[in-house]
Amino acid sequence: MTTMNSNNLSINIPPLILKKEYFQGFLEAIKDKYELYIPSEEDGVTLIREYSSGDKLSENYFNVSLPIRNLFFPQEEILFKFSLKENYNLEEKEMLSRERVIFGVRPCDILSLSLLDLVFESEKKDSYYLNKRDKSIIIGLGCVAPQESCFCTSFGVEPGKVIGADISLTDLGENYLVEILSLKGESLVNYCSSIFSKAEERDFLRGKNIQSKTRELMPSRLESEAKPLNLEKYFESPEWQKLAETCLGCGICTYLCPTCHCFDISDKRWLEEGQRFRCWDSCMFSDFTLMTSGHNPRINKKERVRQRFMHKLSYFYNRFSEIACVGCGRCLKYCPVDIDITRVIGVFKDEGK
Amino acid sequence: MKKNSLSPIIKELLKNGTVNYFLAYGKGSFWFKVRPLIIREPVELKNLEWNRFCYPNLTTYLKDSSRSQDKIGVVVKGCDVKSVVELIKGNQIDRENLFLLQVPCDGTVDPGKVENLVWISKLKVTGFEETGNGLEFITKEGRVSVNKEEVFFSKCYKCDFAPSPLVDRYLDEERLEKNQPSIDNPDLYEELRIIEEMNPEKRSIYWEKQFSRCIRCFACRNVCPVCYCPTCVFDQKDTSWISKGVKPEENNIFHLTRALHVATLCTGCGECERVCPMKLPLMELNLKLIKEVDELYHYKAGVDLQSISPLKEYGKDDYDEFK
Repeated sequence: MTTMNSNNLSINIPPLILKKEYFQGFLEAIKDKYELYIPSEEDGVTLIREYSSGDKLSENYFNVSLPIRNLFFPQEEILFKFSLKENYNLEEKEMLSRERVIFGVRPCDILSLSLLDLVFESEKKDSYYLNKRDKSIIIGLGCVAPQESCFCTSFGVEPGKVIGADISLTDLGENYLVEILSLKGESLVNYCSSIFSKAEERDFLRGKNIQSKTRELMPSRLESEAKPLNLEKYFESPEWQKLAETCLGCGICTYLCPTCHCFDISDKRWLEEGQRFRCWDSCMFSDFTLMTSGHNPRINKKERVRQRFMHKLSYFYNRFSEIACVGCGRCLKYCPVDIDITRVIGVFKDEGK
Repeated sequence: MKKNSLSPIIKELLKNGTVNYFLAYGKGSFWFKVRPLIIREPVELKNLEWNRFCYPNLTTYLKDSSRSQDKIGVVVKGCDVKSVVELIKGNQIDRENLFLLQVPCDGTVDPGKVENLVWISKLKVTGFEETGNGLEFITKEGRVSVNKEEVFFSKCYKCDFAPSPLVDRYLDEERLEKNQPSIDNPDLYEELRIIEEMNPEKRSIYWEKQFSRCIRCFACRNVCPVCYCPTCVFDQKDTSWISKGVKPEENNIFHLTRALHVATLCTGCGECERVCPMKLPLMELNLKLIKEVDELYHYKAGVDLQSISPLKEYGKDDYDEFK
């Protein structure tokens, strides 16, 4: 069996088996050579955290609360430091030099990275983001138990099947089925090859079976594949006001979204030195579009809520031919007042009829 | 519960012009969620909901209407009335423009606790039903009975509901009698014990670790019914209180300021902690301040309209640590 990666480079390693009893050893081996991140639970919150010896993979791991983008486009990132002394030194941020492994990324979040790539790579190349992409080896983990907030299948994701990562893992119960999807993945597997054993044909078939079973477990929040909505013609629709009137204007939906990527740039200055940093910003905040003159084109919640959905479902599509949503369900699960993107899609689909 | 008797009352109040609109609960996207519903037309009553998951405190929307002349009806639980008391005392709303319709409530269910009980066992919950003493969760593999006290929000165990003269109408007066705290003489500040026993260094480490998760989404601030400054100190431009970044030390400043700003106003509704996507134990901060205010000034927020906040009056017997 030969697996192909997205660049159609031939990968010569057939599917492998990683026994769960060797799993901790696998993590330890990776840690010796790479920086390693795994989903772990602390104080009841599962996040991707840097692995230190003995850390356990979060039990009943569904998905991390904060999307994976934080590792590529951190919530706060110093771009450079400066000094206001005589020579006005600029100290550029050091780029990652060591490779890192990110374990346990779910298929929806992997898709989100390809959408972020469009933003950070297609016109201006964002060196901070691309450096982290370049230095990361992503081990995807197929889902086995989708939650009721999931709707990734509407965006072409196979929840059980990992596509677009470097290595794919499928949970077979006592073992993981390991499939190598890229040269980076191949190098990682070669580095700790003794931990794996060869997968038999039946393991491979069982993996495929589990992958298709997961799809059957998906709730059907959206009837079918999400299609780009020509929302611009609904710009003045009264529906926006209805949607927005209970919105609290907090940043949960945008900060937990794996595809949101708006940021602000700001300086922090002390007496003679300072730093420039960028940080996430949210179109749901009232000061997001506040101009120096004091004018704010999105003065009410209606305009802000409309912007969020328009950007995801319409503007992003116009620019990149993709919808900026992967159906991870975080925004609908965590919204304190139950504003639900699947409902928005439904409302305007019906209006279009 | 009482969904069916709620609807005609709201319909009548809209029809006879007592209110311009009603803040109520509507069907949510999930079995564990309801959606705040603003009812302007009787036709919207078809989405009305009243169940164990009506935990949101709708009075937070009254903040937005402080300068409007609309007459607003609100569906409230006993605990929500306390927030209304503070909003009136803080001159945020006009009592005359309000109609409070109270529904009997003997506890709301915390979906997080249900998740821990049911989801962990990998059963898929699709809905729930109220039974005599408990709740039955409907799963793909059958029904699971849960004792409802196991899954209530912790504030519900300490409910000290008492009928309030502010309420315009009770949905079910007979049931008010039964609407008593779930536990006799509860320890109101039980959650604080562990933290209070820590030495300052340990406590500082504890909070720094908790605050380090904060993503500064401001949901805790925005959902709070008594966080009503027209421009929040953290939204002011050209100040250096905190930047837009998420440095841990700035997170500390944000959370301590938020908690101190609502001290003497916080009624313990728990909405800040409920909405936090990073599960910060914000009620531990709020409860500590409620306790301090209670012990130092014998004052509790939300109890009545007459008592004056200790921050707004001066007394010769006031606690004075500089004496």
